[in-house]
Amino acid sequence: MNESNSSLASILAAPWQQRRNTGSCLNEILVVAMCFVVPLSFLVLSLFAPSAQEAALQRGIAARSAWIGIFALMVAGWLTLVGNTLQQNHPTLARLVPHHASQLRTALLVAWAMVSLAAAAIPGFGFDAPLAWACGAAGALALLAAALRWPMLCLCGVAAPFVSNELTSRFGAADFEEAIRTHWEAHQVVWAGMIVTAGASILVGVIGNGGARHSGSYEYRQRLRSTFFPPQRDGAATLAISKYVWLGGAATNGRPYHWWLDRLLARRDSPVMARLFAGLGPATHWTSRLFEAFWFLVIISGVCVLVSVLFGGALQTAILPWMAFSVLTNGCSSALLAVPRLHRTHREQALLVLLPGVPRGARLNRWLGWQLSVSFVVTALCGLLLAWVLEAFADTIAPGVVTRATGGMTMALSATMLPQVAWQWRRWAGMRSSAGIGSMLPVLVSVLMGVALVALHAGTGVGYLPVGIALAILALAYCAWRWHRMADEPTALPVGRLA
Amino acid sequence: MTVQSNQAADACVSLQGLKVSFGSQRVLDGLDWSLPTGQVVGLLGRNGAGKTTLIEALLGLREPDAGTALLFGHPSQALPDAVRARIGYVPQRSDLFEWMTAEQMLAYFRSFYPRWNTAKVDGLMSRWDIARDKPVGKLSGGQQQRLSIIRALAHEPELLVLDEPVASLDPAGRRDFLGELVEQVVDRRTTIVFSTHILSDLERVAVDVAFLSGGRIALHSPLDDLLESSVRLGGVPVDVERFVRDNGLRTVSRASAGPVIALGRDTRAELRATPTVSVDPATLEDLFMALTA
Repeated sequence: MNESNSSLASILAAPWQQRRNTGSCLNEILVVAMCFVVPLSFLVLSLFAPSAQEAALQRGIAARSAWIGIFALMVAGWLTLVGNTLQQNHPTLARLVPHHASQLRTALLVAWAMVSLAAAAIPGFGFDAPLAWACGAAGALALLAAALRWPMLCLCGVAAPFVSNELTSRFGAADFEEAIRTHWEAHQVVWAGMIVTAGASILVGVIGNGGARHSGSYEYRQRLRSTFFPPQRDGAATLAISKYVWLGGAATNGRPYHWWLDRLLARRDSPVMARLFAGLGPATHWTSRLFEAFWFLVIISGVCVLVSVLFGGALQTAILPWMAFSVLTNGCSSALLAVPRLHRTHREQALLVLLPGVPRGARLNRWLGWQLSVSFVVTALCGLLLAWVLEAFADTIAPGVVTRATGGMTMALSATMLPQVAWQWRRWAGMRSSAGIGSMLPVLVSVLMGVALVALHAGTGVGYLPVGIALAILALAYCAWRWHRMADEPTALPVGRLA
Repeated sequence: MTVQSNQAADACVSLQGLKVSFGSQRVLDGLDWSLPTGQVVGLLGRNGAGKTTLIEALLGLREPDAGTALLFGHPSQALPDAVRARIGYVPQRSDLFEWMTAEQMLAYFRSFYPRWNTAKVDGLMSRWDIARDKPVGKLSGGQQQRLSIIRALAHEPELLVLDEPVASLDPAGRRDFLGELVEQVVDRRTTIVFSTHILSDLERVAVDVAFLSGGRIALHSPLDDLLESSVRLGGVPVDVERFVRDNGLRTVSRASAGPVIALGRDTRAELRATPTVSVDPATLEDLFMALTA
């Protein structure tokens, strides 16, 4: 019995142990911060509210968004646990290790019951409907687990808003809600029994027993995972060339890069530093940046056209400011992801620094900082220009739409984006490899700074331009200080060797 | 250009008091090692003994906590271009530049080196049957390793550093590779340092062997001399101890159980077994087990 309990505990604790072993809790801290940034912002705003009524309204929004943050955390935790359990459910282990599959099933069921009971206890009693909250949470968690196991079910998640939209428009939102409520109140126990039975069956079903179908689906999920989220180089082979990688933001689809490389190698007198930059890999190279920008614009335009055709109405004009916002955040994010991209070729860099003509020490450090900065600044300026044009166009066809849609976030981000150039002047030799949300830290910082700036602007009336100039001066001062410090620092490449 | 002492300049590789730690774990602990030009050395050590760390520190790819590493008389952290052109390196994992085709990768490296033996590259590429237009990432592990070896040999280096170069090769590939290595030594007097766990390969190629243990080079000796002077003794421990003492041998085995491996001043041919002590020639594997325990 004790062995069984410790086995369950180790299965449930595996995601936590995995993170502890990587030596960084940065991802978890960032997820928690993201879940509570909105309530905190509204709480701060309420302190500067001009009237007590407005302050109460903002505190109310803060409380509601805090609940959303808690649910988001719960969902993120559940997805991590199920994802990790599915990873542990390796077909070979399921076939050869005694009780492995049954232990995984039991662990999932225990976790499912605990989270559902927590949902009944905290918001359930708070809203005076514990059974409804428990059943809702249990059903949603089981569906999420099923979507992880059978990824095609995610299409149901994509279709759900459209179906819901259709149903509410056909029957009327209030009537539809009332019908569901009445039916639930009349048959609570039956519904609860059905949800528990179906949920438990789904959770038992997601764990495979090691047959041929299990092996096939396990490999399929692994392929899907490595396609959309290419792993770091250590420990697993990187999917170097894939026609889908741009969806995962990896941009190693090499056509423009290879075209440029062939041109570079055809010239015997091509500059050493241009060849060195090409040797750092396609993910870091400017040709890939262009490729990414092109695909990003194609996709975002397609999404906007699709949404405006499907929903129409007021959304059509509100789309442009949101498009401007995403151009700024996503367009610049590729330039800010230098750490994971440089880490992807850190073993190649060991050969590069041994090549004749490649500088070391201060010259290489400063060259790298300069190259990454130029790439970032050019990308950011293009993103800013495009975002401003889109917003100006939106305001021309529907005055005031920009403020209504995004609350001026694009302008705030414009002030905080360029100073992010400071991220390009790090001590690369000592930079740890980062994955997941940790690698997105520079992007998140710029967005969080933008949110803080919006709050500051709303609370004190400080303009975006002076703050932007002040931040830019600070960033430039930091870059200059790093330029000076780099003279005595170890050679930047291979990145992360001193971490 | 910083040229150190004449002695260091004569040595192709000179390491003094090299210390490297990972956190609290000391991997290299005041390591001293020197390799004259033209020597072929097999570097042996258990898994995790620090062979790769030693090779990386030797090449200046890893900053030591203390000590100096000189290559051709120059600090390995600041090698001039002329010295870099004299070095070839095959890292432990050869799945490198996997986004380039084999052709592109070789063209890329050719663009940096002042000397490049195209005929040799072409010959090896066709002999080892490596597709030129295939991305490196899509070649098999063995082919990637062969390509890595071709890349390292192409500029005809004077110092060739190989970190477990034959790990992914089949016996035929290993034989080809060893043939190339021998050719390199005979034709160009190349200094070769290579780490491997395949002791039979080492016996076919290495002139010297160096055992890395406890963060230091425990023993560096010509392989033939070492095999000639080492014996495996069996029998009652007290008798073996007396035998070792009487014959002026030096025990090198550190394991509490198992045969005693001893090194003598004389050749093992002069040692005679007694009724209570058996004397057999020690193999390289015996020495490996004894010296790296």
